[in-house]
Amino acid sequence: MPTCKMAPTTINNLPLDVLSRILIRFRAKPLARMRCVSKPWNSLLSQPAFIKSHLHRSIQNNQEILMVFAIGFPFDHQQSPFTTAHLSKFPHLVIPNFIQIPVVDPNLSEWSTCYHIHGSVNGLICLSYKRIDEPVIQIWNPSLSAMLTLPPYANPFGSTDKNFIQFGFGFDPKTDDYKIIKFMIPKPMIFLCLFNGLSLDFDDNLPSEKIQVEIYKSVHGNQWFPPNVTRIDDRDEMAMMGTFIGLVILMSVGSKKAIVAFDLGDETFSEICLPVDNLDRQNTLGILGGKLCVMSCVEDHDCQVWVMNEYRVVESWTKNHAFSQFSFEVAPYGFTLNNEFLCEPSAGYNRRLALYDPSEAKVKYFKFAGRLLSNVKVVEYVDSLVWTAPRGSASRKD
Amino acid sequence: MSKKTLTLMSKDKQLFNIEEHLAVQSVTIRNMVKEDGASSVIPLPRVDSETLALVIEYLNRQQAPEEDEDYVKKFVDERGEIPTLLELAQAALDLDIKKLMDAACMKVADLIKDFTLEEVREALRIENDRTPEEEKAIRDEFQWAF
Repeated sequence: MPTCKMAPTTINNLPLDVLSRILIRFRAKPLARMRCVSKPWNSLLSQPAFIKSHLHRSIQNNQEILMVFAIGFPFDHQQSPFTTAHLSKFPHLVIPNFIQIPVVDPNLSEWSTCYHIHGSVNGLICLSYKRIDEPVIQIWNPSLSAMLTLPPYANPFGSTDKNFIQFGFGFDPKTDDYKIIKFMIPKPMIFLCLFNGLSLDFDDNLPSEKIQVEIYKSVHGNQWFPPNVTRIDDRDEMAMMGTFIGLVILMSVGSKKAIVAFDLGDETFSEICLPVDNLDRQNTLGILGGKLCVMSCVEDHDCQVWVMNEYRVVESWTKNHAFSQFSFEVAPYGFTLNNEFLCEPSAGYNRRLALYDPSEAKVKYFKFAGRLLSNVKVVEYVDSLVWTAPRGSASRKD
Repeated sequence: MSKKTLTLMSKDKQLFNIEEHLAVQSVTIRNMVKEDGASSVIPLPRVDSETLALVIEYLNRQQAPEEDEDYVKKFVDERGEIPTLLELAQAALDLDIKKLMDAACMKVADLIKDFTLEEVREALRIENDRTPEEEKAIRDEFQWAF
């Protein structure tokens, strides 16, 4: 006769498997506090497997909250109208005092600082502000109110004012690592782009290091790593986003637009053709249901959404939606985790931010203290324990 | 034809009878019955008789499916003592009775979520295994969480 054969691993008489099922229901911040209960609790709560299940659970049970950041918002005005949080069910309401950016630099208020949000993944947000000339890059977990400031990086082109810098933030599931990719283009080259006009043909004789790429890996030490790639050619504006699948950049390749995908695992670039190669269309990259999508719009006309069902397989582009019901021009932002379409329908000067639910064909408008004044970056709030404690910290010694 | 009955034996060797069609809500028991017919007594060496009596009461419930959620919630609510709930959660986990386990874990989580560290240690009978210096170091590191 078989008996129940589970051999329990106990923590002071409390079985580990029951404990983890209880604690996984907690929000991230009280859980971080629970790490102080005892050493076995600390080791359970810092296990990558536990952190992943907690994240997965909180994405599934997400009472979706969207954080709206004005681009370049000033440090001393963290609250409305520059940063606001909204439930996606009721975007016309602002959740008061939801966004609290921790001050890690006591000198900060002395500088006139502007914050920029570069991307978010698994509840972590990558942002930067400028101190004197140099941008300071930080990784922020709003659910833990924890902030990590990255070490400065090499800047071979001199003052950043003369350069164009763009950051991408992503997660590499292969190495379980968060990576920030920095692209730096010297300003003279940007002028060159303008002179060359629309065709954007670069002279092959330009120095090969014209675009510098650097990679920061969060787990493997606190420094900027030189990447395996040192150049990307012939690119202009970069729309970049961090996803579960990699970093994708929309750029000009010769006379056409294409998506350049950066594989966060092997750190190589590859090119993906757009579903509609038509210069009249304004393309924006996004993620819909975990898959890469392109929102392709024509001025005063429809907005098509194409989904790449199999990542990097061009044949798998499928037309998913066509939004033509808006009677005005629509600037797409992307899709929320609940697959609602986030966009800025603009009627003249009256700029607004809206969520469109395709299944119910319903438009919900955001309401801010004032009008939508500047461009904004919208980030999904995800309650997450994901964090990398600095080496030598007390929590790692247990 | 009479309904088939199974006998479950608790850690302290008490015997409980339950109709097989109700007992197989437990995936563990269902698998045991499938494996060898489970004609004799099923020993549950990790479940004490008090907890097993509760589990049997739960398995014997006669609820309409649409009222089941409320019933499970009420069932654990009425047993609001943390040690009882932990035993129940452990038994439900061993016996693989998902609804009961989820409800018991949820109830414990609700009860302790606003506790201080000391209250958590007391409620779950956990010994603080850090020296005062170690305790201070880890509290300093997580001071943003307090």
